[in-house]
Amino acid sequence: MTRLSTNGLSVTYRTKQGGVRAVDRVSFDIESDEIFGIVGESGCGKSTLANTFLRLLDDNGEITGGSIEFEGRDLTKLTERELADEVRGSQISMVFQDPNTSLDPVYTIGQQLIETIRRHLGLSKREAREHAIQTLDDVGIPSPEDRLDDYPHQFSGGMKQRAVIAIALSCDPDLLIADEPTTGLDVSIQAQILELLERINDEQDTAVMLITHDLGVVADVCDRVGVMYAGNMVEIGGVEAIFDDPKHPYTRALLRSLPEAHDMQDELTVIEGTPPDLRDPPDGCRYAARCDSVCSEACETGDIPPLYRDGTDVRCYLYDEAENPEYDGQTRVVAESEVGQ
Amino acid sequence: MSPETADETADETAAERTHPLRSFVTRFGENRLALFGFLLVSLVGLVAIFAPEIAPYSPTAQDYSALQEPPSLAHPFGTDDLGRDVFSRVLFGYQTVLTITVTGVLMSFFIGTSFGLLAGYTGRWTDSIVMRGVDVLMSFPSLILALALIAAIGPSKWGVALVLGIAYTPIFARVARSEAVSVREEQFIKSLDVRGASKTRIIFGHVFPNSLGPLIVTVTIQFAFGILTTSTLSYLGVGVQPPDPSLGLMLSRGKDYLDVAWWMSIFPGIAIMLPVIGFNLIGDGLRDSFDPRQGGR
Repeated sequence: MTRLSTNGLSVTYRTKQGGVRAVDRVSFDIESDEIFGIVGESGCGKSTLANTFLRLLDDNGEITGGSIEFEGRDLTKLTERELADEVRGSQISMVFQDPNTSLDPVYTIGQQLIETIRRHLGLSKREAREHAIQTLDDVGIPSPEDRLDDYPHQFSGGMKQRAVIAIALSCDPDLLIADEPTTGLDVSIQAQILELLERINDEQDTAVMLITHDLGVVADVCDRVGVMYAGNMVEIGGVEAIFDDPKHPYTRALLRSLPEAHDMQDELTVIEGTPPDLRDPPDGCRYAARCDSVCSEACETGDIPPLYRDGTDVRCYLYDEAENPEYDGQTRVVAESEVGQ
Repeated sequence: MSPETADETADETAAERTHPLRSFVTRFGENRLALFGFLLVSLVGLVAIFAPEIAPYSPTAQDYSALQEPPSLAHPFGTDDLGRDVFSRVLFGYQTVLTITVTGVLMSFFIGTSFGLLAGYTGRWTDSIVMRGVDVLMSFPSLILALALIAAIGPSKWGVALVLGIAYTPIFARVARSEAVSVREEQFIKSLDVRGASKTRIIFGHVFPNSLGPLIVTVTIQFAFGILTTSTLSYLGVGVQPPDPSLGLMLSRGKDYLDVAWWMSIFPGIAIMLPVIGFNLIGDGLRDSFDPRQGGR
């Protein structure tokens, strides 16, 4: 079942130099039982996308098009009050990158947990405390009834991230957005946190959207993945399809740039060039300037490519018989409204 | 010792070592000057509270048989030109000046901090409007502002307190605003937004406690300034009115007799100095304790 569905979502930041389209006509679905990964390099719009779901864009950011369907409502149309009372923290919650700064240093872990629980579940103090202990136990914090009264600085980095996840999960959200939840944690803790996310996804009815730039993390835990480049979602597909048979030249380049442990390379493979300036994006495909398989004029002059379906959903003219005569595969253009289905 | 108890003791000492309040108290206590300031202020505070019990005479009782007597066992600080006991008047003077200062500073703390936090957290036009108002108030030297306000509302004990409250409000607003602006950018404030916490809750429940350090330092420093301003206003004759005992007024009256009765002005002068030094030392000590990077001197 589809839990969240975005359709043609665009977000623009107003700057002194003009509007920056940080997210441009992005469409995808998140199923209720999956971990959906979003990968892309810095500045490609991953985090903006996450903030948009909670309508917590910076002051100069604005949704300029599209919709976000969630539980039968369009999140882009809700009022600030509805969002705070009914969505943020209760239906959609979010975990950030750095657990060290995600907790208020002047309150105990318990006080912060209980604050959120009471805000959304309307429990009494005693019930909220019981619930808080249960939640800490769920995320694997040992002797939760004692740790509840600890301050954040008494927790280690991995413990803090568990506590942050506990707060995010305390009101049983339908969707958990994790924005690079393992960056800055050491590798063994990373693995534990990812395992925790997988367990939450399995045991509770919580869909997870995992934002990362680490393809290893994606391969590890995600069911499906979306690849973003310069504000566009260039390819969406199952993890196996994306890793075994990537369709978009950018996805391929990304995978090639992964260092491999078994053959010692002298140099890492890099993608030449830099992403385009989004204040004035080029015509056609955003990736065309760095692409090694430009096949048609449309790549540099047309609109951003439509989505073609061939194993994965891919935005690239390589899969258009009209634009690329050499292509002889079986594709069809996917309407924005049926993306991901 | 069994391994379990060893673990427990280790845990306990770790907790003791890292508890924020405890390490704060330790750091503050290690600062000898700050501790001295704290003792000074406590002493003055106790003396002021228990003035009626300690004072040997009534502060207004005149004794025409003992005019301008030098310090003696009967009158430790001597007597003034109306035969009043200077020691008793200093004690009651403390009571007056501390009541005024504490009321004024706390009033400006609450008003200034609320406006400052609101401006700093909300930003945009709220920030602009509030801070321009603050700039206007700040553009007057606080003593001149106090004089002008006193002229408008008339001199009295509570008038002075109100004036202090108004004159110091912009100082707290500035400190609170700058703290709020930096705390606002912290990730935990954003994660509170994400959890659907209300604006009031975020500002007063989270931004405020995280800004408290610099605000408390400002409170202590303003206590020192408040005592000085209150005394200055009295000295100029626009503050506390007779027969209320006031340190500034005693100083002003004593200066006319400086060559014949030095004790009339020296003792009130020292009396003003002590809590001012005390509060300043506490302020410096607190600043060092709140910000360990600056400490270690």
